[in-house]
Amino acid sequence: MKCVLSIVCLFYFSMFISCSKSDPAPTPVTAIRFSNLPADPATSFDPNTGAPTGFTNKFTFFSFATGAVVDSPSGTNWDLAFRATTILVNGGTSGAGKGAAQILTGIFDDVANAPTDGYKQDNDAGGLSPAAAPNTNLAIPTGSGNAWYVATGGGPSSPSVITATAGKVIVLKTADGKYAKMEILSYYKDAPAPVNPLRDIARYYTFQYVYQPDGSTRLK
Amino acid sequence: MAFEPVIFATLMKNIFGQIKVLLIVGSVAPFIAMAQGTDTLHFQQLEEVIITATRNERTMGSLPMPVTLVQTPMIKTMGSVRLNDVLTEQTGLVVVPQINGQGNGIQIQGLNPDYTLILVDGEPIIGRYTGTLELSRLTVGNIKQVEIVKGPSSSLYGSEALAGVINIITEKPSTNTAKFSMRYGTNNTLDLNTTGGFVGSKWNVSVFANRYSTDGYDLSPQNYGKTVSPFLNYTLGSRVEYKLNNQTILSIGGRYFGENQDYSFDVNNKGNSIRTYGAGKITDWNLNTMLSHRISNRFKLTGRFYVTNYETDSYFKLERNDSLTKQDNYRQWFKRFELVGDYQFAPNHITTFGTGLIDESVVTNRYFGLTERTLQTKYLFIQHEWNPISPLIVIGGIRYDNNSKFGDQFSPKLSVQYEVSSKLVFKSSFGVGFKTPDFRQLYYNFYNAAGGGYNLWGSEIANERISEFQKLGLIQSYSVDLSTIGTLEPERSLSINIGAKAKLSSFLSWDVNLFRNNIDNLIDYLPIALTTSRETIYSFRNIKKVFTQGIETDLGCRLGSNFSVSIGYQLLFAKDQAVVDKVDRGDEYWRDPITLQTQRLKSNEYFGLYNRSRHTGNFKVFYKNAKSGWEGSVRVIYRGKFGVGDVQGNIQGEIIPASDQNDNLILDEYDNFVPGYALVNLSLAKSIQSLRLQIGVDNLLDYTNPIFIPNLPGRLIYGSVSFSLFEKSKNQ
Repeated sequence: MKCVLSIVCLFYFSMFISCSKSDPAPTPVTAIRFSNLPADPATSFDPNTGAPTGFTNKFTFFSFATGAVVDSPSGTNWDLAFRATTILVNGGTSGAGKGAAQILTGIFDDVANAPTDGYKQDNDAGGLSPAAAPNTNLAIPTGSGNAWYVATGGGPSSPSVITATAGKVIVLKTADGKYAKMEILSYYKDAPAPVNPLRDIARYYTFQYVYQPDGSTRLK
Repeated sequence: MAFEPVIFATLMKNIFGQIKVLLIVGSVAPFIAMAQGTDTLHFQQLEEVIITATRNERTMGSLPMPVTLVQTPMIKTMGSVRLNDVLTEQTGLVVVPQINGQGNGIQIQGLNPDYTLILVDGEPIIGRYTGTLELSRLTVGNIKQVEIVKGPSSSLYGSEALAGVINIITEKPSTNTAKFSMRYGTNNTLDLNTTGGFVGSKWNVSVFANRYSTDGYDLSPQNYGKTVSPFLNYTLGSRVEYKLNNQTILSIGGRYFGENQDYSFDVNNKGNSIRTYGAGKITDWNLNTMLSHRISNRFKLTGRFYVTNYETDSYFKLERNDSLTKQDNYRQWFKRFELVGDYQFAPNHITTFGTGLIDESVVTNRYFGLTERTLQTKYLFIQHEWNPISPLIVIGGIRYDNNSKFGDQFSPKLSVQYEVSSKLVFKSSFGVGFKTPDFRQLYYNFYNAAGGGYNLWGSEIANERISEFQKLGLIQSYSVDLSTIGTLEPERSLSINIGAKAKLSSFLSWDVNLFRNNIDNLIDYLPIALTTSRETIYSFRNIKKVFTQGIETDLGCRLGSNFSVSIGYQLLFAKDQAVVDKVDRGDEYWRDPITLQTQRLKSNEYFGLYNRSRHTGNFKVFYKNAKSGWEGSVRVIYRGKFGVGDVQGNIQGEIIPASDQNDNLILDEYDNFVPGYALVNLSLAKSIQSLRLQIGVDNLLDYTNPIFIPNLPGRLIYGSVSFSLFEKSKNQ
């Protein structure tokens, strides 16, 4: 199976390379992968049950322009904020910026242009309060199957696992109104596959994104 | 009982008139030999009569539906002691672990163990854990045969007989006899067995006792505790049959099963090991009273009263401070009264009809409140067997069930057999099967603090519990429309079986069956709400649409008078219809676990439901020489690759990872399958008059898979001794 997998991957990459070679792009935008963004991970574990504890309830802020975590978020210097499965955009009730998002179903690389409409801003007054409820009033809704993840297990005899659903592309407007697309690849530290919920530490995002600094909708 | 052979012989005459005489004298008619199936070619002296398929004694060859029969001489040659040992070697039957990889359930035609009814002498065995009846609870030490009817039999048996029915027929003494057997093998496993039969002019009595003990086994010695902890069980049984007069027989039988098991294991989570110990106890008994009266030569009535009780008690404690971490008790009752009649209008028209009442109840701390939960069922059924022209057999039946909670169910079935020639027979059968939701799906009240925490509530208590939680302000959000919660319907299947039996030459026979089962309202659990402490609440709903389809086939070959060789194979496709539709629309994706690149899933890349192997098969060689007393067998059992669903923890604190590794939560070609495997079993026995000595090896190649197949022990070597008093050996 590994063999089949690698052949498929090889094939896939060769396609990708030949495509980008034949495409005379003016200023190429590239896909960047960001690994292990902490989104309020557990700091300790219950010695009796192993249940994660010690959450700070704090968001981690991220900027596409710098491609880095923002340590002192203010105004429009951040685009997304992560805490557990909640992701806020810098817009609407969550921030002062123009941030907005929509969820597309498809393949990340195939999204060549950001749609011009269909975006939603956060519309949840309690969004930044510590006990944020999973809700669909956010631009990137929370809740299993609502946007980018499905929660499984946590049913009879199995610990809960958050799976970042394959084929979900989040198209974003950044705080200053530029376009970006992102695909969340994993919710666990070091993106293990398959996830072992008794071993792997949750609330670490790995995602890939394309940021278009020139203000156009071109994302490829 | 004197009349049954008359019906039987009459029917036989109509269907296979030319061979009736041969059959009655016990010889082997060519067609019967073929109908026997390949496994049993060397045990032809036993009549191959099946009761389960029609509730009447019928020969294998006259049944239009797929039926497997395993008789005791073969079971002895195989060296089997528990029911799972017997079933796992039959074509199309797959013994699968229950939840957490423990235990043994039966999968028929790709349907879960929940959907197969298991009977002993026609009466249901109760006591299922998460839907699975543990097959190893049943010893085969006192049985005559195991009958397996595949496809729905709800038209005769009602709920649970959706995928099939397995009926264990216990031995009835024909002469004074006493038999003793002892088998000892790997893991200090000891099976002691005694059966006695006493026959008078008006009565007969059978008694039976079995003791089974084992040290269990440990497939992961690096972990504290054993994969299967030591256990000891007893099975006791007895039946008294008394002939009141020539028309009337009274029979009273009972069975007791008791098992004790001790556990010790670590609960591992995020590097912490919490040493835990505990014990579990199972008791299961039943009482079965039957009065049968022949009103006339054409008309017989049988009344039966059956009561059975199943109880389990278990606890787990922390070794550190002896504090209780889990206590569980479960008590289930099942009482049934049934009246069945059969009436022969003409030699080629036989009607069987019946009515009954079932009263079931459960009390357990697993459910909400310690109140007794009950269900009552009333039912009527009728079946007609018609033999319009000699090569054609038509059997039609319908059953009506009225359940106190689920209302009315109608389950029809029609089966037709056509004998093209003495060498070729076609069979087909169409039927509806159903399974009413079990107590667990209605009343389960489960909270798990570990692994994130979640609640699982039965459909009947979900609304009540939700409003309680809401009043306390514990509900964060709802995932479904609450009006859809709280009503479960029986799961229903529509099934087709089409098959043929062909005698390819004097020594070669071929049996094939194509099947398709559709279930449109399969019950599954789904998240209904989230608590303020971010714990998911699950409940049960009729949400899934699944189908299973495939081919099962057996090719049997007789080599000389002592050898038989057979090859069995099942091809199976078991899929979720919603996923099939989604993949066909191009809306299903997968993400390469290494490169993390996402791609669209193609139609042929969706594998299907978890825990189903596309290919399963067996290859068996049996040798038996009645003259010299030698017998032996080589059996190879193959199970192809399969996937596992949700991540689970096993009893040794290890995680059983899910097969899905590419973020689409379905099983596709790029997922991490449990690899296929073959088991090789050998046995050799020698009979010297009434003494029989046997040695054998199960799983010769010592194949194990501790994480995914913990119910499969490694190589087991055993030796056994058995002898009988009084009885003249039937095999000579």
